[in-house]
Amino acid sequence: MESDSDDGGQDWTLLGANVLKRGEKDHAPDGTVIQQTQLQKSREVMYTALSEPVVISEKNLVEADWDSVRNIGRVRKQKGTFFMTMGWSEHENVYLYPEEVIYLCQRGSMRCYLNNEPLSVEGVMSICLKYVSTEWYDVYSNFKKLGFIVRRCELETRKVSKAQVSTTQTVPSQKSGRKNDNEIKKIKNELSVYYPPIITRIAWFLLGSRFNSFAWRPSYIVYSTLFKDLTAVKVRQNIDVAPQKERFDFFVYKPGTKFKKSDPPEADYRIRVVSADQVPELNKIEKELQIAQKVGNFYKDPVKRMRLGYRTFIYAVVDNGVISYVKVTETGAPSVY
Amino acid sequence: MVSDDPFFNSTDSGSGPGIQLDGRFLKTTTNKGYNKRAKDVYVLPLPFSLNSLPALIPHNPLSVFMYTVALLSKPLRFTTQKRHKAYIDSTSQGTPGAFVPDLQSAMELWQQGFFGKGTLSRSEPSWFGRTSRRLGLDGGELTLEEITEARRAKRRKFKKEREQQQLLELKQKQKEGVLNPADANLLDKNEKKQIEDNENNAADSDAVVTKVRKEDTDLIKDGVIEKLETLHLHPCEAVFLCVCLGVLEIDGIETIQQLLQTFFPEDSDWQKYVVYHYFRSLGWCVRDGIKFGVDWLIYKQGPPFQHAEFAVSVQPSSGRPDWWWLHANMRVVNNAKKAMTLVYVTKEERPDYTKISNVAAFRKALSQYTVKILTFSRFTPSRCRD
Amino acid sequence: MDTVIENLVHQQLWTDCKIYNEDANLIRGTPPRKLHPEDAQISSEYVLVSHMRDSVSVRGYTKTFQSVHDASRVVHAVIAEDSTIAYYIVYKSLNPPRRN
Repeated sequence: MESDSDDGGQDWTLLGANVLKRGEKDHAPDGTVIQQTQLQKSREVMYTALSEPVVISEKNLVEADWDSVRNIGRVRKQKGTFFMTMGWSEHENVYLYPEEVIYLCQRGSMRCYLNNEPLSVEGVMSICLKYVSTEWYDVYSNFKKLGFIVRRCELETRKVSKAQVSTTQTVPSQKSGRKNDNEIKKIKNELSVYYPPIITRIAWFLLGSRFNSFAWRPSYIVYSTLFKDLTAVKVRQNIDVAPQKERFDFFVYKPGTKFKKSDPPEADYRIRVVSADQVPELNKIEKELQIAQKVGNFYKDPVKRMRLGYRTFIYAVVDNGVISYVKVTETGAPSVY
Repeated sequence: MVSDDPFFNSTDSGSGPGIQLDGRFLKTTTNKGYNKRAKDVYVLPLPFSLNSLPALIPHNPLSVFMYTVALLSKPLRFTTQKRHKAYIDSTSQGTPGAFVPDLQSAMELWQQGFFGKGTLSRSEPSWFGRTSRRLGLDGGELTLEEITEARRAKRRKFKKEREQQQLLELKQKQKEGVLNPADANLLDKNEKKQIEDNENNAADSDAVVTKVRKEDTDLIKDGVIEKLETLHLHPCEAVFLCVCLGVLEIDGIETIQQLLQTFFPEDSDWQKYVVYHYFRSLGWCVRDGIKFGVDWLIYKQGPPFQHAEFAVSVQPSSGRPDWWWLHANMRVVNNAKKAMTLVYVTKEERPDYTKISNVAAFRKALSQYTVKILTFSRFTPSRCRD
Repeated sequence: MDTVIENLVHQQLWTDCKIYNEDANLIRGTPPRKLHPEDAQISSEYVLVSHMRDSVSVRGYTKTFQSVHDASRVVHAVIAEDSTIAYYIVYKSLNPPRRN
């Protein structure tokens, strides 16, 4: 919220010291006045904050019309810094998605008109929530309120398709091309099916039925040979679908990001909104992974390597307004020997 | 209401070996020291011995010659592996798995790759040594259970001290005023309990270690403690040792087909094995995960060296766990610094065991299965802003 | 049940462990120390035995508590495939959480 305070919204940081912080809590009520007073104080702070009326500062107020044909908002005149990171331009106009319209109206920075009649915040919500789900808006506003830059993925792919498509296909934070190539080779190796050398296969073919264990050689000099002979189960190769029709719901950028709408950088987080029911099926998750963020994994230590994984994205799991973010990472187990 | 009791539970998440205590209990006090010793005991990653080469001294031509000869001839010379014996428990309520009664075999299977679990121990079959020491007979090295017990005694002491500290604080706070006169009794009650506890204290913790029970004297036959403990191998461990390494014989089991039918009757049993085999064949140590509500715990080396890094739940390819279950598991598992991992087995039905007549057929059947590994962790946006 | 009795006696060092009710899968025995720090003294406890593959239900717990009418809690022992036994304390009613 701090990052938006100069735009005329409420500044919650002014509430200051009496708000109880995260961290150690008392185990149980101890019946003392001290504990009770402390609780009472922070409750009062909360109620004071909530009783504050929503102030609309006329000077900085942005005005927009609801376009009921395209179901988006059209800004009358750009004001303030919002449009550095929100909306998109089209024929000299700036347009806003429903979630952006609700967000700006709700925080008192914009007034929206329908057929030149001003709408109440409730009115804006009742119109806009026909075109985006509540879960969708919950996630959008949650990130926005924390100061993140949030962009609908559809917008990125449509408006600046070239830039975005190319970034999804390269490894971020790569140090050098050569290292990168080696890395891809290594990952492929970890993910591919092990083909034993020809001599091994001949041995299996001729004597296969006579071995009484996977460890078929008369003797082993190193354990790595033994582990290779034990290999049978592998990680399934990714089935690459050619054109990437899938896209995420939101791209999220950290608050400090130098953001340019016409040339957005690589997003910090890729978000898919789902309602809290069951975890999607594997083949659905695999589709998400195809367009997920690729991780530059340069770790040699097998544990760190497996923990960091290869590709990652975030599910925003929404249950009646409560959001839980779950990071999904695809990985494989490197050999310990 | 179900409450997990960390005191009583044989479950143990934080059994970091080697905690500083009064020296009577522990020989090694740092993790490093413990690991050094662990490295000497747990040398082999599997209960399978290598055919080692003679030392190579590059500037000594004779050594180079011997080395070369050995290098060329050794792979052809047979190394016989020690075969351990196990039986299936057909009497008890069908507990699956195989039991290794011989103490020497049990120790070797544990020390070489951490297979099995002592039926009276947390993992390593250490009951005999523990009991001998408890009853005042010589029992050799200190076991993990005893180290844990020492740590827990320390924790109990800490809690007692904390309680006293908080009682003082509460007294201080109450000087400022009490909301309800009835609450003042809380203090009296606590104080009374404190005194009682202090009185019981000495008897409480030490008694456990020294007291000899009737149950114990029954164990001693002719001055020797009866060897009660056996090593219990999980069905997956039994199959891996039998078929993949060929170092285990199970009484009454003649064919692979029979082995699979006995140990993996359901598709889900087979799926668990596929995942077990995947990690084992890459050199990881795999152990049962019930204590964390998952199927497997994955260690880089094994329990004496470090905590498990991954908690694995095996899923069929069509598996759709619900988000509530996943969140509950993530909480538990992340608190113990493990990664919640779902391993999907991409083919669901178990193979037709009647067609698996030899090792080659088993390997072929197994290689029809692949896995997909995903880790899930909680993400908190407010902590990831920069 | 025998597995759990053996484990209680020889791993957890309980005393006087006997089968209490064969049909209800209940054992009775005495632990070496208080199960809960708030307990007044060490007392004999009931232990409910089940396997990993058994499912738990409120109906099941109700039956258990009917067979141990004088107790407000039971210890629930769950046996896993590798003979690991996980022990849980199950209370008849709401119980305040314990400090860690």
